Parts: sequence; structure tokens; C-alpha cells
Amino acid sequence: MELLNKYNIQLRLVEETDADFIIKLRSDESKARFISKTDSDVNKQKLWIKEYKIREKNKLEFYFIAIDENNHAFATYRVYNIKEHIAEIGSFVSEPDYDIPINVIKVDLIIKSFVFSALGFDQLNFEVRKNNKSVVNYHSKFKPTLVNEDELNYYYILEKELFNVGKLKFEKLF
Amino acid sequence: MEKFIENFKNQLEDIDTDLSPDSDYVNADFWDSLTAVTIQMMIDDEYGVKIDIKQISSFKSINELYQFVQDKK
Repeated sequence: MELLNKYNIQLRLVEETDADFIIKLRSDESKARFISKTDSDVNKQKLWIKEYKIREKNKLEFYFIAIDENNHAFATYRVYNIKEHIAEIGSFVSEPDYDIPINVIKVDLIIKSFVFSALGFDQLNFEVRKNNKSVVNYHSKFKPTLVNEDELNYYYILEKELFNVGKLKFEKLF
Repeated sequence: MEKFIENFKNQLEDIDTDLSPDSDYVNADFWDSLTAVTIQMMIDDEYGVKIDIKQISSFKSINELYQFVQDKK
């Protein structure tokens, strides 16, 4: 599995050469407040990716770069904490001024479909910063279960069947 | 119009957001591209009207958006 391809969007696995892109994306002020802190040292990022590639080889984690119909890389998304019955999704960051918002939603649908169909899970979990209101609102369209919250985040579990219902609604926009 | 505003509010994180026909929603704090997509989906679902995402962000008020949807229905 090297590539996911749907809705004219490609998701390819991260390589060490993506270190700059990842740092640039995650360090942007408008995005950084909604995600965990990222070290701006490219060599550290490359080392992290090198270690990630071992987890990827062992099918423990999948980190993707999203590329649009104009061959432009615009987002990242990651599947990790893969356990017996559930996998976590995160590191979902798009370019701050990316002007095709529907493509960002396409990436979300592709990743969730990957977890439910290709990896075969019936549920997945994710967290969202409470102050990332439009993203909280977007995820609510799939009716995930809020399983926990703290000062910073909401923690959700999404069932496959509920995702499939929500997916159909968004696909009508494509 | 009342129902349209209610449907619009239901797409927002804070459904108690104060909105009226004159509300300049595009310049409101809650507005961003992802919210625009959820409004786009609501208009498609509830009114069967296809509207471009950039067009949703081009109106000056909820009333203008509502009139557009009524004209296209």
C-alpha cells in the first residue's frame, strides 16, 4: 500500500523528504494552536520520520501527505495507536490559506474509509481541540460519541455505520 | 426565513449564535471555509439547491443567501 486515490485526491505515505513541508504546515500560527507542538529542527523531523517508517513497515502507523488535482500537496493525516479493535486518527493539518475546502473534507473521508474498509475496523477514535470550533462542528455531523473531555480537548469514538451515513451526505457535494 | 435561519444556526458549533436576516455571516467570528461547507451541505439537504462554496461566501447577509436559495428552488 503506497497510495490512496479517491475523489481526485491522492494520499501518499510520508517520506523523510517531507520533513520541511510538515514543519511548515505544523508551525503556521493559525494551525499550531490546534495541534501538539512541533520542533522546527528539520533533522529531528527527519529522524522522527525515519523511526515512523519502521512502524509503517510493521503496519502500526500510516502517515499521509494529501495531494490535490493540481498536484499540490496541501495536508497531512495520520493513522496511529492501532490496537486490536480500534485505531486513532490525527495529525490532520491543511495549509492555512488552502482555498479548496471541500478537498480537506475529501481527505478526512478517505482516511476514515481507509481505517474502516482497508484496515477493517468498526470504530476509530480521535481528539479535537475544544477551541477548534468549526472542526468540532464538522465532526459532529458524523454523530461520534464523546467519550471524554479535558480542559483542552474533546475525545471521540466514531462507529463505522455512522461514518457511512455522514459520508454519503458530504459525497453529494463532490 | 425563520426556518432558514434556524437551519443555518444548527450548522454552527454554538447553535445559540445570534443571527438575523441582516447578519453579515461571512465576517462573523464563527465563519471559515469548513463552516461554509457545512452550510453548503445544509442547503443541498434541506432545499435541494446546489451552491458553489465561493458563492456562499459572497453574500452580504443571510437574507441575500436565503433569496438566492429561494430563487434556485
